[in-house]
Amino acid sequence: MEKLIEVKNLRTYFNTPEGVVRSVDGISFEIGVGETLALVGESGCGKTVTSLSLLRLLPETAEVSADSLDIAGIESIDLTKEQARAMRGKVISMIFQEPMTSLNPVFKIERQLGEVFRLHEPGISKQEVFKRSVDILQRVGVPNPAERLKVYPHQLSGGLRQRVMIAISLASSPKLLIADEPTTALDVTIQAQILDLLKRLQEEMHMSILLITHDFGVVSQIASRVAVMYAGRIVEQGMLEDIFENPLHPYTELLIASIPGIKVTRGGRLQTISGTVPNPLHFPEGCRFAPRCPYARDICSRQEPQEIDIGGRRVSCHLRTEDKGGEQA
Amino acid sequence: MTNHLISIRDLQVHFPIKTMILQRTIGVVRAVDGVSLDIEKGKTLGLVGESGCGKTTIGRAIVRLNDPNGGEIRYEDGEDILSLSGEKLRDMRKNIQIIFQDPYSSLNPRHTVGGMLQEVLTVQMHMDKKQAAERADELLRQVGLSPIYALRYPHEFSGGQRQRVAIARALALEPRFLVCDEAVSALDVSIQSQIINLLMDLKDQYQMTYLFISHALNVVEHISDVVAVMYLGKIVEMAPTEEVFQHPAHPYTRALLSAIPILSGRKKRERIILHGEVPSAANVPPGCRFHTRCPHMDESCRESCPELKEISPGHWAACSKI
Repeated sequence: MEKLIEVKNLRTYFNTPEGVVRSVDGISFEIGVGETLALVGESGCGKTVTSLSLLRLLPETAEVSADSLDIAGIESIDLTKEQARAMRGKVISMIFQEPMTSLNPVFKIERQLGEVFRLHEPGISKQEVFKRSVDILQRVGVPNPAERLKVYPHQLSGGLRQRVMIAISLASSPKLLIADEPTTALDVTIQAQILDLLKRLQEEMHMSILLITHDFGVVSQIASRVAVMYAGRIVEQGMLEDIFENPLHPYTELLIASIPGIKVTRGGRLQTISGTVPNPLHFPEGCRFAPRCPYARDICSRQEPQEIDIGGRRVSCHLRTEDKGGEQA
Repeated sequence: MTNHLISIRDLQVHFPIKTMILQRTIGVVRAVDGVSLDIEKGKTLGLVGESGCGKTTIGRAIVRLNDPNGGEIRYEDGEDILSLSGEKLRDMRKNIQIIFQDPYSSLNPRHTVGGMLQEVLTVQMHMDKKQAAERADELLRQVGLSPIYALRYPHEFSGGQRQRVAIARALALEPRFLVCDEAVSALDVSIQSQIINLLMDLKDQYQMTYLFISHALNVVEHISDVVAVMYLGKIVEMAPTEEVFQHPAHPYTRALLSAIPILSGRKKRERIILHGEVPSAANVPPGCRFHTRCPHMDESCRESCPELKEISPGHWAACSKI
């Protein structure tokens, strides 16, 4: 598959008064053209920071480095602020979890949506902006688009607001859409509508999606590949079915077993993961999951596991390294 | 003598909509509009529905956090909870406790966890300081926290630990009935499973009865004995959990269940995607409330509001097409 995004060894550190927070610590992944990659993990594992690193939307305290950050054929690690701004919208755009806080409450939808067209195409006529705005709202399934352009965000329901957000982010026809928990704040039936819409638009516009979520249910409906993050690292990545049917990393295995309704029968005991997520100021030596891992051995707390390839799946775990014939880095 | 711990009959909770300055009432939000249900001793009733359907309002009515406009709620076939006041209400509250969704805002940030528990124990359970301190330690242990945490403040805990503290505080009064209002929704999956396991252990140990309010259908399926589905202030279907999930009868339940993501090991379900949004509870559609979004709607649905009827033993549904 043709690659749209290729990230090698991305590190995003934050300098804080307490020390350096290693939010994203050496992750590598690719996204193919028209593909959906889901980045899954619990809160604080670094998934949102990863997406903001791609967009270059981080505060001054952040330090981003990578061996390679190839976005649509452009090496993007050393982009200036202006270049990064030009890339946002045209190449990558993003939708957020809470559509209420990402829309400006004091402007009508017309102005917020129209701004995208005006920014990317200065000198465009008023009529043209209006026509395109109605068009895009229709495509994302907003009923009576011409009327909806005249209202303020608070006059719309949560589902409609998220549709407007999607319209705004797609107005500039990006190649990659980053969807950060796009349905978490929505009801189940509305969630189904939005996921359906994203899938349809992806096919129509031939765009790639980076889905960021903690919800394996959402992942299973829309993603083709999955990368599981833990404490700033990707511990395992592979095709959706493989990850679900046969997780190779203990963290993935425990995470899936802790969700009601997948592996455990009704009323049975759910899997739990003892302990808590490590503090990003002081990650443990060796494998970061070792202190919570039921299968941990001596080597796990001494040496960091290398990422290995097992039949197209990449996993970082000493247990798997040994399975493969004891090759160790 | 029935085996019901909580019996709700024709509960109505309406909220007036008032104008800004003159405070004239210009409409009502029918948050809960004629709900009847029974919760058996030692069982868990799962209450599901989308936001704004009134599920939280029912939970809050049971603990008297709002004032219903009509109906009654009986505890162990005794007096109507809604008519209690003063001393009697305070005693009743020992039996019925609630835990909320957000453990960040339901704990007082300026009290230590131990202090918070001890206050409850001295005021409500009439313990002296020493007894209260001992019992507080015991409660923390019960919810899986070390007693050293008693000296800490809420901000020093993670989300899962805070929810444990909230559960410990609810348990301090030795309640027999616990309303869990989206109690695990804000937590990460690995922590969520710990809290679900804890709630189920407490149920086994102390024969607790739960009203488990949630929009997370997989969690409700896991924890509940009976499930009630709400739509716009009314219960549209109620049955034992397996029956609801295996043979959903109401078109809304079917659509809701089809929206549950299918994960590995389950057979593919036909997806029913509902069109449109949930109508506002301030402007309830006439006839069947679901007719504006129902795929099987016809003229008769616009006219009369179907009542719950028993379609098979223990399985109730409100739809004129069944």
